[in-house]
Amino acid sequence: MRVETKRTLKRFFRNPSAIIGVSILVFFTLVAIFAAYIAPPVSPMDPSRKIHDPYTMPKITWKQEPIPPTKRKDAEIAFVAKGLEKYVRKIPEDKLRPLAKSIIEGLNYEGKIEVYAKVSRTKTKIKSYLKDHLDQLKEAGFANAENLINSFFENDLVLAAKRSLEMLPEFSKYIDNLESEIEKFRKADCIKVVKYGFSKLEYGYAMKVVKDFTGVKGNILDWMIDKKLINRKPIRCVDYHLFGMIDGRDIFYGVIWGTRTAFRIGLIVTIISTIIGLIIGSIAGYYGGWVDEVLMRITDVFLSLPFLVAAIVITTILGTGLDKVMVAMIIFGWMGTARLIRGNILQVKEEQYILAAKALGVKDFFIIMRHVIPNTIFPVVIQASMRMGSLVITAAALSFLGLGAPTGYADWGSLLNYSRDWILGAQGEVFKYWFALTYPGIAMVLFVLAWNLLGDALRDTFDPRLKG
Amino acid sequence: MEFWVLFSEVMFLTAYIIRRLLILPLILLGVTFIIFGMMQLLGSDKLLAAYVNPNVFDKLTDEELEALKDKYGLNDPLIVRYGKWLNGVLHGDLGWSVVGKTYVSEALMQRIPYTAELALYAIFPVIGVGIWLGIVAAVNHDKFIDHAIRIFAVIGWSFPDFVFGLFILMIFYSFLGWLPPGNFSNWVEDAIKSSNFHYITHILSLDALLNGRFDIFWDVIRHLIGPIITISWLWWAYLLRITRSSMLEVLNKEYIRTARAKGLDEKVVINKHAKRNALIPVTTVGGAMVINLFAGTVIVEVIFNRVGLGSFVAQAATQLDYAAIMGGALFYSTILVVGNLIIDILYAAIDPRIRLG
Repeated sequence: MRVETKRTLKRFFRNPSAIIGVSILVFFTLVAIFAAYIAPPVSPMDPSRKIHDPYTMPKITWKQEPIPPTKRKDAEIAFVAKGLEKYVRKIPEDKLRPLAKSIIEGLNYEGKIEVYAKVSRTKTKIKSYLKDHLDQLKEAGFANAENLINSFFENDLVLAAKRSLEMLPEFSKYIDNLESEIEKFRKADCIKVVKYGFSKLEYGYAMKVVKDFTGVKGNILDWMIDKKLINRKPIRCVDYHLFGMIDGRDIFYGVIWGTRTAFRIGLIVTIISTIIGLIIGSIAGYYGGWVDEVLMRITDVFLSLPFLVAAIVITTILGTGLDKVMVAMIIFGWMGTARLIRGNILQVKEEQYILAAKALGVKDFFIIMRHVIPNTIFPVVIQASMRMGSLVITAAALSFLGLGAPTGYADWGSLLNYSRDWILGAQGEVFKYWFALTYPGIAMVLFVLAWNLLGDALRDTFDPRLKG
Repeated sequence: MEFWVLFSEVMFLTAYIIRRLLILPLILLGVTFIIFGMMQLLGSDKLLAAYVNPNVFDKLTDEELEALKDKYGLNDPLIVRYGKWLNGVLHGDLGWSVVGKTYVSEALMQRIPYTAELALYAIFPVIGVGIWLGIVAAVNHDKFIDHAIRIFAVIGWSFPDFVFGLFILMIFYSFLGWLPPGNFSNWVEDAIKSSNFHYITHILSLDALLNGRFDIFWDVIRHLIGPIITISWLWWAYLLRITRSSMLEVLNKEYIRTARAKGLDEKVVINKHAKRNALIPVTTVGGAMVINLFAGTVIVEVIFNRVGLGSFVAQAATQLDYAAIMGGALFYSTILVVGNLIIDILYAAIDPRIRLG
């Protein structure tokens, strides 16, 4: 027995499909086991806080309905103003401080943030304000005040921020810090956040970025971000989110935890439906006659609803949710196994050893369990491993249609459902949101591929007649 | 003697057909019972929505609601309701569809031609290319082309159709602008609604040809290519695997060796001797596939934003339009059952071994 097992294993692993399939599956299994370490279930805004349910992808939400600025420059100005405020607060209480304050106020359009909603004239105001106070600024040691004004007209916010720091000689040490910060953003492609302001906010993490950058809590952003857009749009910011974001959720997190979901769906549904199929098929095959006829007609009835349509019907009746999807797939997933095992049993039944067992008076149940099933089980195992893949596809298809996993559940199908609205890309950038479709798509294809390869290899090993 | 052999053949076949035809209504009855049974899990309030606009519910008192339920027989015993419902189904009354804003039967009739069109056009590339690839792989067994086709098959079989369809849309619509989604362009809609356009078959592309409107025909076909590629991709993989293994089995048979030993041209051996026998098992799969093309259109129609049976069922499901879902499911299963019957009979006619089994 041991020798034979060894030989079978050797034959199995000589098959390239087996090697590829098994290694992908091992990889996915490891990912599923260590999901909590690869993608820790913590709040994206505050990494020290754990999230309640790791299977629900954490979502960045905005508490306040923002008022989007009409012009992006206004947002930039507001950003600089807030950025400056942080540094100005540290200025000692001498003649510099009131002046710096007045600049801020000028930038803030005399402190009225609400004005940003209708500030087409803000820039002119600031320009004239700064010009009016130019001499005063120079007197106070703001040597580069002119540069600051110019940088506003160059629309280069980083430069503006930098120059505004240069204006205050005591704070030159911050410049190094700023340079490295800017470099970080540039590397992460987050420079757009700074440069183009927030009228069309590109990054879900803008709040955090801005916090890092200025030390200001994100309340200013609350006014400026188009909440509806940020909450849905795919966002790519490699430093913070490896695979990008969609619907305010991290795709990487979804892919990692989706592995667990895929395994759970596949294994539970395959095992339960195979057992049901085994029971029904073996009863029908072994007893034959009218039992067989009735059971097979029932099988026919269940087979006459297309699998996906049947699953749709059940999930709409039971309500959405992963457990309901699994129930639907179990109810309509056992027929293939039942038919297969029945056919095999009809063949095996005529063999001598069954007749011998019967002649010895062995009970039917033991004949089925001891003799029939072990001799007919391999095709069932092969079929089950092939089915794992297609079951995961069907579950994902239901999620894709919005009938499967609930909103925000870590599931590849839901991620693909989110990406569906964005595949057309943005104006001029067709493949802008490619990542939203590609990463979950690849994860799914690999998972299904692995099971199919495994099934192929098993079939080649145990049933060489069907080799193909 | 010859005559009697033929006669008994025909008798066997007829007996088989009759047996299958007798089972058919039983299976259909079972399907209706399953669908009806599942519907009962909903509870009477939701079932009432199939008859009465659910927006009215809030304005009604409990007594009025009960009266309505009585009126539509929702408080009757199960078997009575089943009988009534079955009677309605047989008379084409499937209830009111909220999504379609019309009767379910009418909504289905409007959408079936679109799905039928898609399935009809998909059959040819799917079967033709799938079988061709399978034969090419088998003939070139263990050569490079065989491995390439096998890799294509296993990847294709693992590619979910919705992922593949989205990639197709991304590249061929968004990037290249070749294959737009939807059923047809906007201008076609005006054209086909005008009085000059006559509906003959209700399948739009055929009607366009019969009306002599080649521009409309081309537009419709252009909208069909993307969905067809998406559907074909998966089935190619499936069909070519079966064709390949069946062909390989036949190529190892004695009579092929004999044919080759006789010095027959390899082409003749493949085409006359091997292909014919290898394609027998493929027929069943091919037939089942044609039927499943209908069911497989759900996802494709949703992705490509097409009007059709599949997208109707999907939409009904998201909006909890129960009557429409049940109607759609019933239609799908009827197609599946009747189609399978036809294929089994054809198969029995081709391969005599089946009839005895």
